[in-house]
Amino acid sequence: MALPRLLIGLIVATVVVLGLHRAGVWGVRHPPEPYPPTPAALATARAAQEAAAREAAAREEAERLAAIAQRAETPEVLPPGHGREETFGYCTPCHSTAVIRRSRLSREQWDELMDWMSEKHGMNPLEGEMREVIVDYLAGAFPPAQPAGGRHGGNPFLTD
Amino acid sequence: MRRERSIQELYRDDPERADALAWGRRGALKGGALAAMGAALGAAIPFAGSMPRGLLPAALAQGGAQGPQYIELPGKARLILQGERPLNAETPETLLDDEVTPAEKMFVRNNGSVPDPVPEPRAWKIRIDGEVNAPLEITLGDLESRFEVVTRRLQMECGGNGRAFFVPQTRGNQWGNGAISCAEWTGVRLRDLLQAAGLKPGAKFTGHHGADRHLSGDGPAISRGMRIEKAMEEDTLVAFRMNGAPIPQIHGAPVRLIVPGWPGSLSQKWFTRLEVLDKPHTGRGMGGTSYRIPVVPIVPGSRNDGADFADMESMPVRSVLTNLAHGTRLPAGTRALDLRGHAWAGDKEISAVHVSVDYGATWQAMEVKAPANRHAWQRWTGRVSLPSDGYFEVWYRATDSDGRMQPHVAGNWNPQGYGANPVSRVAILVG
Repeated sequence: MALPRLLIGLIVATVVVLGLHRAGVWGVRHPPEPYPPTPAALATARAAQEAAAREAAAREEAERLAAIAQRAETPEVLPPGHGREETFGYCTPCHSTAVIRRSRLSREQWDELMDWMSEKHGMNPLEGEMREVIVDYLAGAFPPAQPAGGRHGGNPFLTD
Repeated sequence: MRRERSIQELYRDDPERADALAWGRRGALKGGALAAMGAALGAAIPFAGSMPRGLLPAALAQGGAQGPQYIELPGKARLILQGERPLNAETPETLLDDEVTPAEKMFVRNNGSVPDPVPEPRAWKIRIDGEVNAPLEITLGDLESRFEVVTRRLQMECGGNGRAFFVPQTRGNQWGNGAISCAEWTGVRLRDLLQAAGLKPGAKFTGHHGADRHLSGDGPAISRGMRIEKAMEEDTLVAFRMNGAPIPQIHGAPVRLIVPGWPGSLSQKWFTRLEVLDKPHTGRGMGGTSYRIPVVPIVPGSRNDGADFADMESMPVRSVLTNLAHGTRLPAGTRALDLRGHAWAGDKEISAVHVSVDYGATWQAMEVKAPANRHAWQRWTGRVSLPSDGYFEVWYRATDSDGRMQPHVAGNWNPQGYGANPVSRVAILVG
């Protein structure tokens, strides 16, 4: 007689406890699950993320390129000679010395190049004594040479 | 070392006498001169008898006390430095083996500064104006949805490619053969844009504009133009993807022109505007001796204002050897070489590639594949045999569909060095 009543009481109590727990009144509270994002929201987020990554990568690339372009040079990168400082000072505001150092031109070609730089690339016209100094230096330091054959480096089979 | 220096110095100081001494009256190395040359190279010269007069062995001609200078750029393979400012770098021929040139192996050519990247590429605007019925201004985002998008493998080559082969040397970056690429470009056809804007009867030329500035701070870095016919060609693109990815900043992001087969300077990077004109464009890089070649050949080394020159259009026939580097040493007993490379000829196709290992005395035909599409370069492959150990030069020469071959020396010399496409030479040593 008492046993069935006790059993029913226990079942009722269990249901109530579990019910309260499930309703969040009892035990640890869990916030309700948010609705899953829509495909459109997912795509927007992904696009934003990709755009940010692209921008960051492009900015980083630009900074590294700028660092290379701004690599500091000093006149000593050119061979010694009268006019080296003037040449370095006049030419390097616009371009690095690599293109000078790879050139092997006659005095006439160097002279002509000064006009071309003024006409085509906005260099301040180079006249008078300054022109003589710079052209003489370039013609002396970088005179015509045997062709490099379009390739770079010395004889590959002579290493001593 | 002593002997090598003496031969190089002799050639530098007095090429004629050096030639006479080295080659003798009959234009062939003999006796002591042959021995000396062989010693200088560190090997016997098996084909000395057919070495042409006036040509230094490639191993000696590579000359210059300085070795190659390389540059490490972000996202790039090890390229040959041409200059840091403006930033220019050449791809070594042995890095040009891919069918489709990957971004990291594409040569770098700038005339000015590299612009800063933009945060929202799709908002980038381009404009078509001038001799058109309705100027067209369109964002990159709209471009892709409004016009047919096409993907093509297209050669893009610097107008000055091969400049280093000119004698006497000319001003400018001393490119070998490596200012060439053949990437897969995705974009819309320029002609579709021009047709949308509607060409007026006076539409004869184009003028191209981009966002890069000249290093003096004064004006655009470069602004070139071409005949309208080239702009209306199927393969002339306004491209926004390279090899399926956004164009790298250094190669003209987010949008650039691709004018395949013509000087690369027409393929405006960081493209913003195209003017349609009734007379030739006059932007920076037009006129005079810039991207122009003599119609009547001039004396090499002479001064000329280029007034009578003609604009360079389709690039000349050229080839690269991509699997054998200059200076390769091969095991003794090597008697055959498997060779491969690419060849291209501007707007034309390649009809043949030949290789010689005896200084041009005999030539062997290589196999040449059809291009993936018009304006793509072509693969060549083949095998040559060697008679012995020793020093050899591999000479390689392409012929275009008009039958024009790469010449033995760079011809039609001009002050800024355009159009040099001589037979290339790679020195190897067996044993």
